[in-house]
Amino acid sequence: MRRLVVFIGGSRSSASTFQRTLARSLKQVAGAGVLVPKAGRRANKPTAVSHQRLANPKDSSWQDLRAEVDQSPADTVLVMIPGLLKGDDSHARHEAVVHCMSGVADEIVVASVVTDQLGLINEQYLHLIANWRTSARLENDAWKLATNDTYVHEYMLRPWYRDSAVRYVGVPSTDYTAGNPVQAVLSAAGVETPDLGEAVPPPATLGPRGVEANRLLTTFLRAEAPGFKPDSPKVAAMSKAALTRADHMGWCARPFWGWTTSSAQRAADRFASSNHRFATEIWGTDWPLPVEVDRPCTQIDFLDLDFEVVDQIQNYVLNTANRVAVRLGRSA
Amino acid sequence: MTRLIVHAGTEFVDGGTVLADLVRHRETLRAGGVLIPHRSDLAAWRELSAGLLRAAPATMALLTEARETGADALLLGSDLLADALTSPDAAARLAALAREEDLDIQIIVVVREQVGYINQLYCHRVLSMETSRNLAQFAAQAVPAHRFDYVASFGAIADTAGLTLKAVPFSDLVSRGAGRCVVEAAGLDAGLAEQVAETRLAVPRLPGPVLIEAVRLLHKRFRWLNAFAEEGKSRLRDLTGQLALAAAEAEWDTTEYWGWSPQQAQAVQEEYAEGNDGFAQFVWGTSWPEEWGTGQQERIDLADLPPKVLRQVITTVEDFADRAILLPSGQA
Repeated sequence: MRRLVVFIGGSRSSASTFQRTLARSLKQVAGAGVLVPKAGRRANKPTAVSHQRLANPKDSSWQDLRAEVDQSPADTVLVMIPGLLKGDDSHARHEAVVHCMSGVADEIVVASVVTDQLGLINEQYLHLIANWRTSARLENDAWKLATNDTYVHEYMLRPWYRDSAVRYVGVPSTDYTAGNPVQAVLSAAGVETPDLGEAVPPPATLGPRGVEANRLLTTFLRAEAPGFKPDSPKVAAMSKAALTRADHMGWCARPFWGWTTSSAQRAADRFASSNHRFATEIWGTDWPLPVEVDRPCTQIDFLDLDFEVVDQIQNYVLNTANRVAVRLGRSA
Repeated sequence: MTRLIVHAGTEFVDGGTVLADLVRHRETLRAGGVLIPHRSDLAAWRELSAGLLRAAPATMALLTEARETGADALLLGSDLLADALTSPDAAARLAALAREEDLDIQIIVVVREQVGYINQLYCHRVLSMETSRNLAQFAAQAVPAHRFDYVASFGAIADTAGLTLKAVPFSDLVSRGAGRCVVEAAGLDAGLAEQVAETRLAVPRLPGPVLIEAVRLLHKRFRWLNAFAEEGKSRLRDLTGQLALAAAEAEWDTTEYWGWSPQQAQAVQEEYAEGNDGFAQFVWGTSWPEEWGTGQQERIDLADLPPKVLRQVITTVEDFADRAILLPSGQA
């Protein structure tokens, strides 16, 4: 009997940590009788262990996967498809994906990490800030983010845990981050492995100073490089390079937490009942994850910083904006 | 025994209107038995008033003149004297003067509710390059330490034999006339008070929130450039005035600065309400008569400005910072 374990992520950092850790532990995982197939990986990034192409049920990589699995003696197949964590997928598409999975193995286990929404939104905010997509404070963007259904676990995961053809496994983020994430997912799916070592840390994220610098930069860019689109590949590459510079400046050292107590409480209230229903249905318990309503906010004001840091940030803003404007060829 | 009446003003409370009224009615006061300084400029009044604490020759000469010319009272005043009176030994020095010169000393202070007062004083301190802190930090680190606590500031005077403390609410200066209120508080003839009922204090217009933040940024840039040490503060203050003109020309602001959030304003009220009531009971035998300052928060976060305005602010401030170090001394 063959088992297919599909890890669909849960948050940006959990997917990233899983992918980096899995890439490092491929030999140990294979030694435990688990196949991490080559099929489904993006053609331009064959070394990346995410099987993103499998998110599309019509993709030919499903046929490749079946062929690869048939030739392998492994009892367990592990794939990572973050693209399947989509609550708005059509029923037909969901059915098609499950049908594809059924063609690979006898048992299908879909696993995701379950994180509390304050942490998820804080993480998403950092992503938007780092990619120059917002210049608002989390406090001001919180409702826009908190009213998004993608943070409601019931909405996002119900297609999986209500599907009788699939066994859904929710891994609480506290378990996931306590040790090796690949091991945590496999263990939750009922696959025993030897010790896979420590997790690979996730990529650097902006700290309070970096957030403030990027907020200022994003607003400045809208004037300095009118019409700049954060989505464009050129700008995305530049924002990535800017994140590296911010890291070198030491602006990623301190963790960022943008919630104030009052806004965190409002958001926590919004999610409490659906989290309770979700936990009851999945784990048969109350919501087990800490909700950090009282965690101190670390969002700062640019002009409250020391003059040395103000100078660093101003130089970062002016230099980066200049680079972007020149690169885009439309300086104001 | 000669009466010595001292109007001890607090910066940005009477705005010089008390002095203006008294000077305008010098002859009327003299006819009513009240001598005031012969000079009309603010600096002379400040010097003579401060001279009381150290028995300065010019002050003592005026006291002698009052005695020799048969005046009932000598009236001195300064818009800044209240700060000096909060020093630990001020009450003892005045009491010694009262004993040695056989004087009945009345100290008249003008008190204002702290929410509006701190907001206004903060604007002045930012524009005069005295602080680049935010409003809450400024309020928490008041100089002198008890500036906003009237019991702590003037309690020693009230408790010292030979001294009498009188007080005038700021709102009376606005509604009833500045000089009149002081003359009334001193217990002088009611007809005399009527005659000096000239100037109603106009609360000065406050700078806009963008200008406040721009000056804070300029202050930080000057510190980075070591300009305060190399150029001197007074020269750099001129640049603040020019920056204010540039801000007005560019129409950065359409509102006046009000830095308090409702919660912060409430906290200030709670901090001072009991002390204010105690002070009011002592000096007037009533509850505190001043209404708390209110307003919708009008402070900005640079990153939230419209992009073009942010760009203008940063480039203009940088231009002014350059001027401070590039121009020969005296030409900023």
